[in-house]
Amino acid sequence: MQALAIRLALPLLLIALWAVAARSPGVAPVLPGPAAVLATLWQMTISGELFVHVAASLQRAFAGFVVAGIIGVAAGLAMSQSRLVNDILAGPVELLRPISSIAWIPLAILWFGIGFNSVVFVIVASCIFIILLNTLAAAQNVDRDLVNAALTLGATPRQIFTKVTVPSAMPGIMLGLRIAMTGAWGGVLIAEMIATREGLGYMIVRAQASYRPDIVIGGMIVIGFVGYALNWLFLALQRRITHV
Amino acid sequence: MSDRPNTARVLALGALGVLLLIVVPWTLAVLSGVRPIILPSGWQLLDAADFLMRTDVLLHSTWVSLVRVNLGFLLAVVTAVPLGIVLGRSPLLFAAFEPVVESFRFVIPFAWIPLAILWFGTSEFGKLFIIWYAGFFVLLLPTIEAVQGIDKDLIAAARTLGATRWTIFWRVAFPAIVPDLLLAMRVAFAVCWIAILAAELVASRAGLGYMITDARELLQTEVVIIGMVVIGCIGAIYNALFIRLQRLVQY
Repeated sequence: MQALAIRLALPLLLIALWAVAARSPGVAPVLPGPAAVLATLWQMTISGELFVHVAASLQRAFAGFVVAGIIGVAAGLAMSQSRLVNDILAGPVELLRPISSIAWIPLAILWFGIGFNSVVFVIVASCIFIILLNTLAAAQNVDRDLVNAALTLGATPRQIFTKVTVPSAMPGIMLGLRIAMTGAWGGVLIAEMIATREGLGYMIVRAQASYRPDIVIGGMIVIGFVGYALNWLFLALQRRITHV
Repeated sequence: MSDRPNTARVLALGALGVLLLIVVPWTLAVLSGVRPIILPSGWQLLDAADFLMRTDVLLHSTWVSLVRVNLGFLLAVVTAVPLGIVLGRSPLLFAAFEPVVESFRFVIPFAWIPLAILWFGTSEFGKLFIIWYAGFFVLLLPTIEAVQGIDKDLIAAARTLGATRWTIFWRVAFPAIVPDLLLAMRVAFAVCWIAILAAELVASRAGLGYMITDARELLQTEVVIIGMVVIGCIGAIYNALFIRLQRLVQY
């Protein structure tokens, strides 16, 4: 009971401060109170507008995440199995990796125009290297004793790969995917601010341009909640897959 | 690690990979008549680089972004590290702050950009706020964990030997968390570097992020690509600097 009170004290204090600040004349135009923001969110939920933006963002984030996941895990596993593949791919990877995902946005627009493809491209750029490098590290660090034991028992290279390497690398791969998912969620928002006409990123940038701080703050709250939910879902999924 | 022929092999194959996967497809695309707006040729890139150097657009943009990111990063360090040390030492304060920290952590820095524009316009303050916010949480949680992970026996030993609280902090506790802090700073700087580019892309009239959006609107793909290269180089240089600092501390 006391622990709960301690945990709740600061959030409640902050919300109270927010409500008080929103009433002061100088701040009021750019900081609507908690009640006003909730009312706006409720209205947008009922009208279905919020759902359209959330669905658009999630769809793009998911598409980019899946593309990056397939390429990243496949390339990472291939690099872990062959020295030659590893050394050849290492060059382009090290060259492209430092270029931040944000820097790809203008080029993506030049290549694909405004819309779905641009956003998905930026998301792929923002999470593919995290997935690739985590997969590679996990697959390289597989316990040698396990591999040797399987070899002694007469396993073929193919069996070692599917029954030993991939299962033991799974926790590392999943960790990379989870970090990448946060990257994908960030990537979709910033790409939508510039390169689309719908989605949560577009929604808050448009609200800023049309001077609606209530929609901006409401959108930020939704962004936080969706990010939290995605993280929670992924952790639940991870526990089922890796059994830990 | 410093196996000579091995390094040569890695470098040669790496260069081969760059050639096969980037240079050759690029050249083929240019030769087959892809418009320069999609993919400019190497000569066009060099021309554009020459032009950018002569007009010092590139130098000025780079300077503006570097000043912003360094200031914002420093602000994040001087706020997050002391708070992290305090929260790491006191379980009560940690319990009080944790829900707030956890909720703000999920409101990613990019989501603050429109609000920062509403609050601060396109002034420098808004950009500093975004960079600070981006770095703050990346630094705070590892600092707390580092302080919580300090070996209690070390502190007890120093106390038995008669060290004052001040001495214990500066000679025992702080050195113990420095490696973790440097790692967190490396990650935080990378995040700050992404955040400033994002802020400049959406709301700015200067900086590398602005330079590449502006070039995109003018269909100057050469300038966009040069900007990307500079952005990548700066990120890589800072990363290497932090890795060097980390090594320095470890030995």
